[in-house]
Amino acid sequence: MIALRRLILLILALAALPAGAQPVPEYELKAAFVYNFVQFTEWPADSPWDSSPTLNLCVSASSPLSSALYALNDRAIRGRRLAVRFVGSYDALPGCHVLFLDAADRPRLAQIRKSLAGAAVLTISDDSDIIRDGVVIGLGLLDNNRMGFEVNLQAMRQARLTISSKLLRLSQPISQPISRPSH
Amino acid sequence: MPPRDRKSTPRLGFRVAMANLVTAAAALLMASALLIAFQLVSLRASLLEDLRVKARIVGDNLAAAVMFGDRGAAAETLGSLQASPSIVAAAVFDPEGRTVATYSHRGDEPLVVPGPEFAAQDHRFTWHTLDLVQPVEHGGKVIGMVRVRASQDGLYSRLFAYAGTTVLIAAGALAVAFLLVSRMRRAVLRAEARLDYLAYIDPVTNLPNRHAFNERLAYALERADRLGERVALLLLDLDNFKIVNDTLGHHRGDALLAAATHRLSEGLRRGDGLCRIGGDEFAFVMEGPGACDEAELVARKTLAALAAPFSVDGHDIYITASVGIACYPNDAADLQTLTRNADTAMYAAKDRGKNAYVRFHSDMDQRARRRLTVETQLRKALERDEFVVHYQPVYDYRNTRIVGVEALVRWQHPEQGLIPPGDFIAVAEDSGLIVPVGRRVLALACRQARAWQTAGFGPLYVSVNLSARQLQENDFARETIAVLLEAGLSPRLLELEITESVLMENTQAQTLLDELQAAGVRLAIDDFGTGYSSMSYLKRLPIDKLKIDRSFVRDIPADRDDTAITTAIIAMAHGLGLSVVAEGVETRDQAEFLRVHGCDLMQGYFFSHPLPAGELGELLLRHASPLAPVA
Repeated sequence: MIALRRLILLILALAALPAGAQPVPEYELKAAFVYNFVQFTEWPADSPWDSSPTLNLCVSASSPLSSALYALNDRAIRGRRLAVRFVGSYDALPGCHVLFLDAADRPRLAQIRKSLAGAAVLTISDDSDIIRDGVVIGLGLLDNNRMGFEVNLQAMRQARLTISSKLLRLSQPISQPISRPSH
Repeated sequence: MPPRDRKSTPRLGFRVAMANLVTAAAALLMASALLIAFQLVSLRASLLEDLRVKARIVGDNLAAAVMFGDRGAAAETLGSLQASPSIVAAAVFDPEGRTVATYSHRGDEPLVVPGPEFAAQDHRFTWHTLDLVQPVEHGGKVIGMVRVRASQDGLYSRLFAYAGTTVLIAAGALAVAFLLVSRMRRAVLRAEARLDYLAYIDPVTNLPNRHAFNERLAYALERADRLGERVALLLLDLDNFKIVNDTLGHHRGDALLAAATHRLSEGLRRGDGLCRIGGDEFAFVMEGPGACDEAELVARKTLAALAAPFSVDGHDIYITASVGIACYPNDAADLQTLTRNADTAMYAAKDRGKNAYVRFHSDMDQRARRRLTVETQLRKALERDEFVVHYQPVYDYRNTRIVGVEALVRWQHPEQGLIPPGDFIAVAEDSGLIVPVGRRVLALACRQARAWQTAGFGPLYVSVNLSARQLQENDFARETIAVLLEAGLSPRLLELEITESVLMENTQAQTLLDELQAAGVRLAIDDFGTGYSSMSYLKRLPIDKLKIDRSFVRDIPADRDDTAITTAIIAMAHGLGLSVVAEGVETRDQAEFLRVHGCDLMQGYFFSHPLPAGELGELLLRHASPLAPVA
């Protein structure tokens, strides 16, 4: 009850602010999406998830999203801490729970696939080629020009992940990947 | 009981019943109102609970949509609330208070972000709606807020249905209770009326009883005082009703009473209260200024009404009545005196030979008082043994021998001297004192007869008169035999005399007479020819002797009727094997006539007056040797 009251007071305080004054930059929005995906995803029991004190989010250091993602580092999530790891080589992806791939990763895709080899990793990408090649969640624009995502159920099952139906319900076919104009 | 009071009882009862009904209705109404209020509270609580569950489910489902800012999905999720008809609107807000999605059931205005009124409580009731605010959480974090509004219309319609049902049931219960109570009330009233009826009404005649009569008379006197009017009280006693009851049975006696009542009522004004105050006693209470003047007319009409014979089970019965009239306030100042005076007048009517009415007169009061004095003195006389017996000899005219004596009671009053039986026997009969007096006479006579026997005057029977009261004594036969034994007198020498009328009025005496005869006592019919002279009882009863009444003897041989009757009686007695005695023989002509016609036994002044025992002893002594009759 007290928590509720605090929340409501907070909301009321926030409500006073001018809503939507600043448009959210694309990378930060994508990072927020990634963060939210993690909240609706269950990793299988034998994954490193259980033993690890952190939830590891792997991204290429050269990715344009890396800084926006890194802003999430040390965030508390589901009782753990989010750790952002920059990976240079994709030979091994030790301890990655989430792997964000973008257009720059296209050439390494085969290698990455091999390294993953059915590991329980939530793969996310905003690149249409990579999405088509098969990642668990693809980010892109919807018909109404808003940010949206689609969940590849086959990839999800291969990675032995469970994504909450609440999230699945929001999954919609994306018309165009957002990242293309930036590359 | 004054009639007004009775009438007011049911009205009062009705008011009490209505008051009870109203009280019960008020209690039921209050109970119903409390139940409805409780139902409202519990319906609201369950609506709130239901809304909370739905808001939580929706909030849970909204988490992802809110998190990703997916308005479409949020609206779709909110749209699922359509399944719940009570929810009219819903909205979900992000933590910044921006509306993510809204839903409305009937196109109501979209809900706005909740104001500070929800700070203290997550819900808010208005007259028609219930608003609930529920946080949308995910992973322990609040990511938004959902506001749901439910309409209370459904709740109210359920409440009204419940209220209607409750009121209907309450009204039904009340109606059933009222029916039961009023039915019970009617039963109680009927029972009360029946008890009242039994307490105040005589069941044989359906007339008010003595109890009711007393109340009615008291009421009448009170009213007469108030209005300066008069009250006439008529007491009516059916003469000889007891004979009907004894000879025809109580059932026919009752039928006769009912028939007599019917005739009595017919001749009365509506206001004249006819009551049955005793076995064969009735009373009228007449009211009004002319009551006392009309009373005698009513008495005449009453006697006339009873004159025609009553037909009861094929028997034609003639009854007569004696009526006594007393007037208030002329003859008496209070109820007791009025009743007593009417009673005195009624007895005066009986003394006048019955089938008559007598208006009370103050002389009667004195006579009644004298009667009371005589009664008191009689009791004393019994204690002091003031009764003596005189004996009148009975002669056998053929040889002028004394064959027996008739014992006749006298009262040796210490101040008034010797009182003849005519002055006290009636009082003794009425008061019942005749029984001890008769017992005393019987004992004295038996002892005297035994004494003469011992003195050598040969077998001399003694004749003793019996009264009706004595015949009604259960153990009279046993007592008589005990007296004989005690005196040492042979039963053959005792003769009991019973008058015809006493015999007729005591038909149950047959057993008693049979017993006495079996013991050897002889029985004689006194005053034969004056009463019913029914031939049947002569045959049936164990009679030994007839006594020809002095009224027939007086005018013989001159009167042709009397000579005819006398000779007929003598012939009949001889024919039946009975002996016959003539009473009141005063002249030689009479004695000769009787002897010629076969009646040899005689008594009367021609032979001897009744004498005290001593003088009769002397007479016997003189007769020891045959002498000429003493005049």
